[in-house]
This record gives sequence, C-alpha cells and structure tokens, in this order.
Amino acid sequence: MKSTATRRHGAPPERRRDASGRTRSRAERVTEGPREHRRADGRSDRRTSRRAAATTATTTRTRRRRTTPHQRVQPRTKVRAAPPRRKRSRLRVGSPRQRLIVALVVIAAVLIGLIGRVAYLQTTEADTLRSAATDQWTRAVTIPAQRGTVFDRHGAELAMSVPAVTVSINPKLIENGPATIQVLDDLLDLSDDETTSLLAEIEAKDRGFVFVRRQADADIGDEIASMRLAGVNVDRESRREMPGGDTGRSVIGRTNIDGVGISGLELQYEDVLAGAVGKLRREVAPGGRSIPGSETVTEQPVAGDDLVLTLDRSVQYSTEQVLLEQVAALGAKGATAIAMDTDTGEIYSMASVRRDADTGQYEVTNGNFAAVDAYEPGSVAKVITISSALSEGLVTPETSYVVPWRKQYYDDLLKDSHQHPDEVMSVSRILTESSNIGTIFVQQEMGRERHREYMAAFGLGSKTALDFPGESTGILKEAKDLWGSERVTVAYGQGVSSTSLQLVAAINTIANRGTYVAPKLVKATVGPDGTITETAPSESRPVVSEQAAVQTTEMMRNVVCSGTATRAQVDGLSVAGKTGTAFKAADNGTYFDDDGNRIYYASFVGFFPAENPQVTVLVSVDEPPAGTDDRFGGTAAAPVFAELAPTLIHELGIVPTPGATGCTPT
Amino acid sequence: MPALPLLRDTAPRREQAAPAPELSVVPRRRRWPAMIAGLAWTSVFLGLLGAAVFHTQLAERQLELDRLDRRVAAERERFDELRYERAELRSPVRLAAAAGELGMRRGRASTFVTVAPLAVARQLAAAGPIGDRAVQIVIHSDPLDQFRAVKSVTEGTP
Repeated sequence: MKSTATRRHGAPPERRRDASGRTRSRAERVTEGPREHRRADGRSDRRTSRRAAATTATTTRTRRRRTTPHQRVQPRTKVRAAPPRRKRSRLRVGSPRQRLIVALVVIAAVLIGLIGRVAYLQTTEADTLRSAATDQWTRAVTIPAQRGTVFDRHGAELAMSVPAVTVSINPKLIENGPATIQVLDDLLDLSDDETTSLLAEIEAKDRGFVFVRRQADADIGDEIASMRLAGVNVDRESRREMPGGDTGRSVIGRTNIDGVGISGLELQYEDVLAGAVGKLRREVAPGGRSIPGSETVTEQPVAGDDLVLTLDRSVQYSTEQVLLEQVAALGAKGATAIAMDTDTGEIYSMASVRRDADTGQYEVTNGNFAAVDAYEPGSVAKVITISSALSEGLVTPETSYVVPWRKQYYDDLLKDSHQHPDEVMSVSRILTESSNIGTIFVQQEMGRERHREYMAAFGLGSKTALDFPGESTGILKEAKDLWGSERVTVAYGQGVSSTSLQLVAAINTIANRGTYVAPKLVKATVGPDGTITETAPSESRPVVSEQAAVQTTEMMRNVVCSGTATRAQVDGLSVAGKTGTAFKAADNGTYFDDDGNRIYYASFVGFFPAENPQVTVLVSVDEPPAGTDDRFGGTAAAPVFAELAPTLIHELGIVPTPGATGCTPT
Repeated sequence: MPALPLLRDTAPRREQAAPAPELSVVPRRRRWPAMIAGLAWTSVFLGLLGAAVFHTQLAERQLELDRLDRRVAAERERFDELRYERAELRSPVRLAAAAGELGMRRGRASTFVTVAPLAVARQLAAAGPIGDRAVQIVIHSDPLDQFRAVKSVTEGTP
C-alpha cells in the first residue's frame, strides 16, 4: 500500500538510496558531494572538495532547470570563481584546540578582571563615586532659617526679620543690557554709580554673578521675578528690622547684611536666634540651569528661638527721649540711664545716647555704653561706704564726726564740694550733704581691706550676670595696690571705676533690703514649637544687713528731700536717691581736657516708692558743661529721674504708697 | 475452517471489552492554558495600569503638597509682614509723632491722686463694669501669644 501510494503521488526525484541502503535526501547528497573527492589516504582535499561541491551543486541546479523545455534548449551553467587562496598566517601557532583554550583563558581573565573592577567600584568606591555623580547633576542650596524675633516684656516686637529679596544678574545671560538695567533702575531706584557699574559688568561679561540689590522689598522682588528677564535672578532672604525705630538699639544691637548678629544681644544670643539652616537639592541641566520642579528639601530649616526681653518698649522709648532732650539742653557729650526692677533685677530700660561727632546731633547709640563704658562713680559710691559701715555696726546714722571742708591725705589736699567751717556732722548728714571728708572718716572706721571687700560684694570690679558683649569689669584695685590719696578717695568713688550697670545693681542692693540681685535682660525664650521657657531667676546674695539698708534708704530719702538731689523729687511719690559728681579721667591721663578744663561725670541713682521700692533708676550724664551749675549730679541727672518716674509708674502699674506725699510735709 | 466460528465468537468479546472510542474527529483543545494566559495578561495590564494611576495620583498629591507648602510659606511671610506693620503702628515712636502732629505734648508734671472707694463704686454703678468683650479684645490681642500660636503650627518652618 505504501509503495502504491508513493507511485500515485510521484516519487520525489531527490530521494535516492545510498550504498548502505539508507534513503538520503537530495540536499544530503549535495552536501556530501565532496566525499567523492576524497584522497586515497582517506583525507579530503579541502580545496578540491569545495570546487567539487560547487560543481555538483551547480550541476544539480542545472539538472532541475532541464525540466523546463525552454531552458533545455540552451542550458546555462553558472561558473563561480574559486575563493582566493589564503596565505597561511605565521602567527597561527599550536593546534586549534590549544588556541581555543588560550582564547578562553584570555576571555575568562578579562571577564574576571571586569567583574573584579565592577565589584570594587560597587563596594569600596561606591559612596565616593555616587556622591561624585550626584554632585555632577545636582546642586545643594542652603535654606536660611527664620531668625528669631526679639520681643519686649509685653510681647511687642523690638527686632524681627521680614521677607526681602536679593536681586542679582548674570551678565553672560543678559540679552538686552541697557533695557534690563533701565527696568531694574525704575523698580529699585538705583544710583547713577550703581547703574554705570552694572552696565560695565554687562559689557565686560567677565563674571557670572553680580549683586544688584540686597534686602530689597519682597513686593518689588515679586514684580521683577514676574517679568522673567533673562539673566536676572531674584532670591528670597530676610531683612532685620526694628519696628520701633531706634528704640532699644543700644541693647538689641545689630546684624550684618547676612543676618548674623554683630553687636548687642543679637551677637550674644546668635546661637539662640539663628536657628539651623536647611538644605535643598536641585537638579541641574548640563548648562548649569536648574531643572524646574526638581527641588528636594533634604533638611528642613529650623527657625531660631525668640527672645522675650525684660525691657518695656514704652519705658525704653521714654528713657531715650528724656535723655536726648536733657543732653541736648545741657550740651553734654552723652548720657546713659537704666531702670531696674528692685526685686527681680529685670531691666525695664537701658538707654545710651551720644552726640554724633560729625553732625552734632544726639542719637541713640549702637553701642551699649551703660554696660561697656566704665567711669568713676563719684559720690554715689558713698552709699556703699556708709551702708557697709552701718552693716558692720561700726557707725550709726547718728554717729558724728568733726568734719573740716578740706584735709591733707598723702600727697593731695582733699576737699568737700563746698567750703564750710569745721562742724559736727552725723553719718546721716554726711551722706545727705555728700561730704567727702566725712565719708573718708567712715571708711577709716572699717579699714581699707574691709571696705574693698564690701565694694566687691556690691558687684564692683566684676562683670554682671548679663555678660553683655564688650561689658567692662570696671576697676577695683586690691587695697594693697592703691597708692597715694587713692587709698581714701575710693570711699567717695574716686580711684575706682564702674559701669552704669554695675552701679545701678549695687545701689539696688540697698533698695532690695540689703540683698544684691543680678541684673537680667532676657526673661524667656520661645522655642520652635511655640513653647515659652522662662530663664532662671537672677542670682542674689546678701551684702548688708536689712537694718543697714533701711537706715541707708532713710538717709537717701533725705538726700532727695533736703540734700543734693532735690530736683529728683516727684510730687506724691517718696523717692530715695544719691547724686554723684565725679571727675572724669580724660584720655591724656588727667582729669582735665586738652583745654585745661575739668571734665565731669554727673550721676543720680534713686528708687521708689521709698517705703516699698519697686524700681531703681540710674541716670549718668557724660561731660556735662564744666564751669556751670549744670555739671552736678543733682542738676544734670536728677531732673531726668524726676521726669522719668511718672512714666515708669504709669507703664509698670506701680501704685504709690497711699498717703505718701513725697517730701511735702503732711 | 472449523476455527472460523471460534474467531466469530471471540471477536465480539474483544470489541465489548475495549473502551469506547473517541468519537470526535478533531481533538478538543484544552482551554485552561489560554485562560491562565489571558488572566495573567489581564493581571499584568491591570497592574501596570494601576501603577500608572498610582504614580499619577502620587505626583498629583505631591504637587498639591508643594502647592500647600508654598501657600503656607506665603501666608507665613504675610503674617510676618502684617506683624511688622502692627508693631510699627503700635510703636511709641509713631504714636508720639502722631500725637505731636495733633498738637499734644508730654506733660512736664505728674499729679498722683487717690480716688476714694466711694467714688469708684458710684462710677461702677453708673457705667457698669467692663464687659467681657472688652476684656477679650485686650487679652486676645497679645502679640506674643498670637506669634506663639502661629509658630507652633508651622513647627519652625520658615
């Protein structure tokens, strides 16, 4: 059946049986053609075999074409050229197997090397290379942190950061320089010099970044940014502002244009106010331009803490204004004033004003002279001497001495402020009339060593707890280091120097019933989450007995009512105080200026209500007019106190003691 | 020839014992591989579609977050600007200048008076005590408290 079927369909001409009887296909026979050209030794001649194979294949194809009658008439035979004879390579050494093994070994070695290199790059060098690659296509930008605000004790802003912008240009990218600068000039009100400089930069195209304006208004910056000027950049930043003008500038200090504190509390509390900057990573194109939308904040900035000061903005303003008016009226060089809470040491106001050397105008100073400028306190120091002697029990207010108006001590003839006959003076009267000679008598009761210890206990000769930047320690020599008349003049404040801050804290000890309390400027801080952290209470220490303090207070009331400080009286308010008129040491080492005139430092320190002191105020006038009656503490400084006291009472809510009439007899 | 009947007897027996032949000419194709393949393709397609939708949603949410961040920053800036303006308006410098323009001058003398309790009682009886509304205005206008509230929300983000 099978053979019949084969015949029916026609046997394929290609299939033939070989010698072994196996049926082979035509293709097999064609490929096996070269076998017919084997040598007698059984090895094939490759060249001959190839030619034979080509000839056989051609013959086969020709044979198939013969089935077409047309082609049978004139058959065509395709003749192929023999392949070019290859020149045997001299480099071909060894057997193919050996060459193959060598090649495999080489390839394996190369692969192993590559794998090792990849492993090395992916492990040891991975971080370095990854960061290097990241640096190529990203840029890290610092996000400034919001600088903390400085508040007064009632939450009013004294210094704060407001949004601002920095406008800069890239001269290499600006397309129309004059037009661009004209637009910027219209919006930023550039000066002629600035405009000329910018045009020159654009012309030169040397630099890729030029500032146009730092800390410009944010609204103007938004307007410039909305124009999308080529080569003009607007970057956001902040600007430090004081909403109250110069109020408190002496204490708060300043920041530089980058927002870093450079003076005052801004410098002292830089770490607190600054916060922590954040970081933003931005992808950049090969040309260096940022790719929009590629910004990623890698570190969020943390806003700085805020400071809540003990200052009262209204009291601070009033203090500065009263000082400015007084120094302008006197023609003095400058003045300082401090108002301090008697119990807590919190400073309500600390002002420094000075005449500008160039313009002659009086203004609030950038420097806090109340803390950094030391001077000889003069008669104000008599309070320390007499209260110390009272505390030691060496004298009482009624202890009396025969006091001449002048006396020779060592190489100096020391005098009282006014001539008077030798007369019996009580300790109380010595303080009331501010007798220098009488105070020396009291100091001699204690001895210089003991007196020096008391002055140190009152805080002279060492920095206060404020540790204000540039704060002076003043000068308080050891007793053994005093020379000449200094040994006794320290009793009434010559030969010793202190800052206004030290002096107000010292006299506040008397107001605070004999207990020294350190001055304090920072009441609290506000953290990033809005929580308030109160600062520690001021350190305090007993210095003199309460009885001595009360006795001294009574003497100081007499000073105001009938002594040298009558111009410090406030109607309806009991005031205790002490004046001081000190010779001021000039730069030439003497107490005289270059014209031979004496120069003075006039002071008044007082507290009220005298029955229950709540505020202590010190006013110091630097170089009041010499040769006039306005050079004394009672005339130059005490009136400032009298003018300031009602403001303090009103702003601080102090209620005068019922029934108190000041110095007016009831 | 006598063997033929035997063959006749045995042949039917063999036919009866053999299993029933497959009657279908074309063998039935198994469908479950196709179903599994289809299910797999559908799963892959839905998975890819879901991933695309998820990423789209993620991008949209991120854009929304960025927009909210920018708005918070802008509002925070606005808050600081308004705070600054208020501080300026309430500063003693401006108040004194405004008062000076109105012809007001600082008093050179102060007189402290003691108000009799009876006078205070009469005044309260006539005008009434201070209302809660006035107290609230005073209490809730504390700039420091307002600032703290905003700062606690922004958590230090400028």
